[in-house]
Amino acid sequence: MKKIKWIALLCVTILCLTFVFAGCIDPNAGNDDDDDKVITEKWWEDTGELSFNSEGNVKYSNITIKLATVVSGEDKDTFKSIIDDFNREYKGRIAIDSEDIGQANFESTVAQRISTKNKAPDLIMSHQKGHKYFVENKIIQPFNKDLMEQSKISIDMNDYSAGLSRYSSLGYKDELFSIPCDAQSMVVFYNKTLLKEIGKELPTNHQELLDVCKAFVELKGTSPIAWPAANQNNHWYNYVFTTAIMQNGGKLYDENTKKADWTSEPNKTAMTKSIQSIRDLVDSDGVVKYAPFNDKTSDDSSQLEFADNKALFYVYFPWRIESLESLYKTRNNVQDVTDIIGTTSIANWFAMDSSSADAGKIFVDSHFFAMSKLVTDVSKKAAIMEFIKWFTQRTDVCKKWASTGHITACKLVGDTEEYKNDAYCQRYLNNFYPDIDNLVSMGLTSHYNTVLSHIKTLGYETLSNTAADIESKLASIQKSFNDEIAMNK
Amino acid sequence: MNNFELMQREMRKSKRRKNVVGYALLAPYVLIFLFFSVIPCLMGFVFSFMQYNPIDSSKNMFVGFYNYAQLFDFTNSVSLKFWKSFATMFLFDIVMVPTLIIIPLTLAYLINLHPPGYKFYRAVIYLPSVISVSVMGIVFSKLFAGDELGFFNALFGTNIKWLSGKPFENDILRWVVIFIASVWWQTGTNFVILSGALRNVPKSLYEACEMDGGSRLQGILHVTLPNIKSSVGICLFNTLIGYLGLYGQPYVLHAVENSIDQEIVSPMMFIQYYLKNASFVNMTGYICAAAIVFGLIVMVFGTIERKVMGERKRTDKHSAAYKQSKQDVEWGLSLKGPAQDVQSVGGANNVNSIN
Repeated sequence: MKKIKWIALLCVTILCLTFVFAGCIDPNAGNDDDDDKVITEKWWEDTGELSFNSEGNVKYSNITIKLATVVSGEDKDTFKSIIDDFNREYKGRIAIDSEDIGQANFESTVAQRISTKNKAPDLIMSHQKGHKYFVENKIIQPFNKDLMEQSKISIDMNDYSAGLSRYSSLGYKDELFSIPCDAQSMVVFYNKTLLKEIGKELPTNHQELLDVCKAFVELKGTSPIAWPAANQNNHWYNYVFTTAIMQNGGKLYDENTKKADWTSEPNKTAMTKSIQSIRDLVDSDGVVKYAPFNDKTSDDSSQLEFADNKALFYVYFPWRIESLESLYKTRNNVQDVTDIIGTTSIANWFAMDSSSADAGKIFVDSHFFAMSKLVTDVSKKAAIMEFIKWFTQRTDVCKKWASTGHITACKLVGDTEEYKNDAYCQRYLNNFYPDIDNLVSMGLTSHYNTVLSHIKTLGYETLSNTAADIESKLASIQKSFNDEIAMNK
Repeated sequence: MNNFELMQREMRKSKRRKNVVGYALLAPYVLIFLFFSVIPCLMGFVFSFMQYNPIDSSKNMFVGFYNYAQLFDFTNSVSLKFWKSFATMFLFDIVMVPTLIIIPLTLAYLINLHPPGYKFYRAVIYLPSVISVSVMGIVFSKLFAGDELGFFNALFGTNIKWLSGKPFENDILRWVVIFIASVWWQTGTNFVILSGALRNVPKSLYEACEMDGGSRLQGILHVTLPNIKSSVGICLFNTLIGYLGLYGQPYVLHAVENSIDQEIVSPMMFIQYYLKNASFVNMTGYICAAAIVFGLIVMVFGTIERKVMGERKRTDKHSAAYKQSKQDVEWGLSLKGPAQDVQSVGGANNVNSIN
């Protein structure tokens, strides 16, 4: 009995020592953050062969593609209509079976389905920020360039917005994992009549914006900028605050280490300037602020303020156009608002240095297409590329999609007269996004949640208390950011 | 085979038949418990020693106590968040848990005096505990909304930001609201248990106390409380375990502020936050370690509570006598068969109460 006890004790000791020594290994050592990796071992397959018709085009026969999309809001009906158009045009050849999954759970749901091969989609259309996560976890596969050549389905990233297409390799050299489709951000509607009344022109830089706001307050006594307060709509941080950072040359994270580097120059100055530019608006001298920050201004109440002519600018998403115009007509008993409501963008609004090359940048969320690793049949892969090309490079399709506020990421379409002269694009999109090469999104990090949550914290801590010391906040939040990144590699 | 052996075999068969029925009735619960509690718990324990990625298994590796070491690294902001949330929850529980014993007990005592309309009051006290935490959250969010539209702000003409504030900085009011909401919502559960316990206190004991010249207060202290001690122990245990896993109330009762720190005020919220977000998938092992450590802490608290509230065990002498008497009974049964009455032998009646 005593012998057994000694043996048991020895086993437990060896086990504990194993655990302790194993614990001395840093599991994050050697984790590669390099954005120029080379694939050494494929995690996807290619099976079958392409068949061609007499004209030399790929022959498709009843191929069904399961598409998982984040599009589930006010633009959902238009998206469904576009899918129906495709299915009609390709009837008998390719059919898209689309399912919308909310943004909140999209990445986890899709990743789980693909990894467990249960209700897995073939094609993903989601925000660019989540695609690095997909590739890091080997959920998606690259588009085969040889297959593209064979099937004559050309999708060249040089034909797409430079600001967005640079993310398409997802950090793998010479690979094409993601294809940009569109972009959207918060945009600006303004009241032409009120602008005329205060005797000002549309601001083209930050100082002009402050002058316009000041003049409006003096004349009207109400806040000139209506946007949902940051505590009512998290999107304010994701689009407005991040845009302010971009326009001042700031970097959300270091592209090599993926960690925040907010306390060393020049990023420290850039971050400070971006915070200051927002403080200029939310903490103006006097009782009336130029824009709300942390109060009860909701999505609807901010829209109402604009519709009731209490605000000069309304900052929100472009798909609110219809409801905004309808509300304005009702509240003001007018039939046509074309001469009353104008459109512009937040480009240059927050740049403290208007001459900087970054001044016109707008932080966007962008839909990208990616292919699930489970697709093996080359005919299906070709069908997927056919659909992507149809969706992103057909002008009529892009025009229809643009009506929900999504500007095309494809220059082949965006540069055409047909697209530019489209009534909707002329009135809205061209003004919302003056230069699609100036659109920037999250980039090549799988830690987008960490980035956004800490940007949110930084914004809240420095803007809800405008006396807070920016430097110390940058340091403390940066530490939290980097600790989380270090643990999540 | 003689009669005795035949009889023994019959007894064993009969016992097995009874056992099969018992196991069949237990099976659904046991299976659910096994698959949804035990196995996930064991899996979590194993994952806590790994760098585990549930999506890409090629990244999984054994790291020993690395995750635990990270959890106890107080210079790490993420781990600090965990321990801060634990401290927040613990401070709240120190106030909340005793309150949720004292208030229901007081109400149960008063109701047991059968005042006029006591049945109505009993229903009113219990009813809030049947609603869900979401409904409770909606109700109290509206009552204590921070603008002039909030019920209490409108009533008193104030503009108090009840639900704003950050942990350890300026969120006292928020915790007051959570406290009030929790008392309103959960008094009913303990009230029912304690009410039943109070009814089972023999009236003869109160009469004896009165005859001995004891006051009402003495009756409460020396008759009521000792006799309901086990029920109080159960209520305390359930409340303690429930509030160590605090999640629902702070989740549904918060202002729409945006700082992440404001959202994580308990270890359960910390665990949920990192587990539900896809981008933290590589931290699964670490979160499992946090869950294991938290579970162990809860077990320690539970064990302390049971030790403190449990009745004193009899001395070894009496325990030995009970064991002997139990053996004698079984031997007696085997000799005389099931049809005959068996008189209790030795100290069989001196059964220790079981906590």
